[in-house]
Amino acid sequence: MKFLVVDDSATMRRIVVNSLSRIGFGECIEAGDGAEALDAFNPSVDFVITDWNMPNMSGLDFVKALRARADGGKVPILMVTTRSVREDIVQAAQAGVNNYIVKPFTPQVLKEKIDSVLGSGVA
Amino acid sequence: MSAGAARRKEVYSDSEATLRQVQGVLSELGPTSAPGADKVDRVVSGLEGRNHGLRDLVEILMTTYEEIMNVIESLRKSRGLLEQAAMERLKSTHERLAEVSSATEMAATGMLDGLDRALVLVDHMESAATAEDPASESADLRNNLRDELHALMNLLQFQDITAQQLGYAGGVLLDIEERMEELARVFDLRGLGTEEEPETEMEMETKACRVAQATTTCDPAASHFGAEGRQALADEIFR
Repeated sequence: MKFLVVDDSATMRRIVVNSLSRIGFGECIEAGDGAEALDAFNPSVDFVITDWNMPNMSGLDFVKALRARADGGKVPILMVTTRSVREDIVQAAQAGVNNYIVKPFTPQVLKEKIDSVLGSGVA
Repeated sequence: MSAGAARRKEVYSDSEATLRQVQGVLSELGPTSAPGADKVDRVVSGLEGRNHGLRDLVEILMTTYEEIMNVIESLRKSRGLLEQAAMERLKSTHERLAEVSSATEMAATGMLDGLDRALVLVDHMESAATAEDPASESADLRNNLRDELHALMNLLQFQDITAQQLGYAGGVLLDIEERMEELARVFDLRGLGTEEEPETEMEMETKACRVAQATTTCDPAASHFGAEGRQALADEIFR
């Protein structure tokens, strides 16, 4: 399974990639913001994990743009962010995010959410 | 009394009243912060008990005008010094926050590199042990060590959260700096004179972008604490 990990923090990208490896997922490509992620996304990507607060293009705008694309309409998207206000979470859900993790997270929570999204038949 | 004499008396009375008000305001500012207060006082005292002609009045008004301009010049300089000191502190604080953020990122990267190397060493230890003694009891220890190293790696999320908190604080400082500059420009335009060239549109846009970027890339509510409760809210919405 191929992941696209989007975060402007190089430290966070490494932590997410390391956690994915720890829970049994190996292949990842990375992007530093929403605009880069839109360029990097291709049909071979099976799962997207994105932050919200990023320069150039936010995670929310990236999700909206991806959902509007023919090749990105159904790809599972997990948002991993510090934002935890109810309105923000609802906004993310309405934009097309499949599940939501509040930072700081543990690899166990990451696994639960990925399993939950994949188990719900989104992919 | 002729109309001209009445008018002169009226102007004289108005001037005296105005000077007394200036004197009062300067007195309220205190002896050290009221440049020229003594001179205004002398002018007011000089007016008292004198019978003035038009020439005297013109002379008094000219002197008064000169003294008021001196006071305004002193106020303008004081305002400039205060503004400069405040701006320098704001800029210095913003730079320090950026430095702290950068330092934590470098440290986190260094720690991640070290943890990666440590994990490779654990793998080497495991390979060597498996070849020599597949049933070694140290296998459990190596697994525990690996778990600890991964847990440490996960803890480095603090850097991202801290960077967002610092970034937001930096954005607030930039915003205050921008507002202070705007306020200073208003003061200059309203009569204290201006020394600096007005900002170009590009300079204003650059500042606005810096403030906007700091506030859009950083979550003001980012926190190290209470993640479980906040996660529960997200779970409830996505259930």
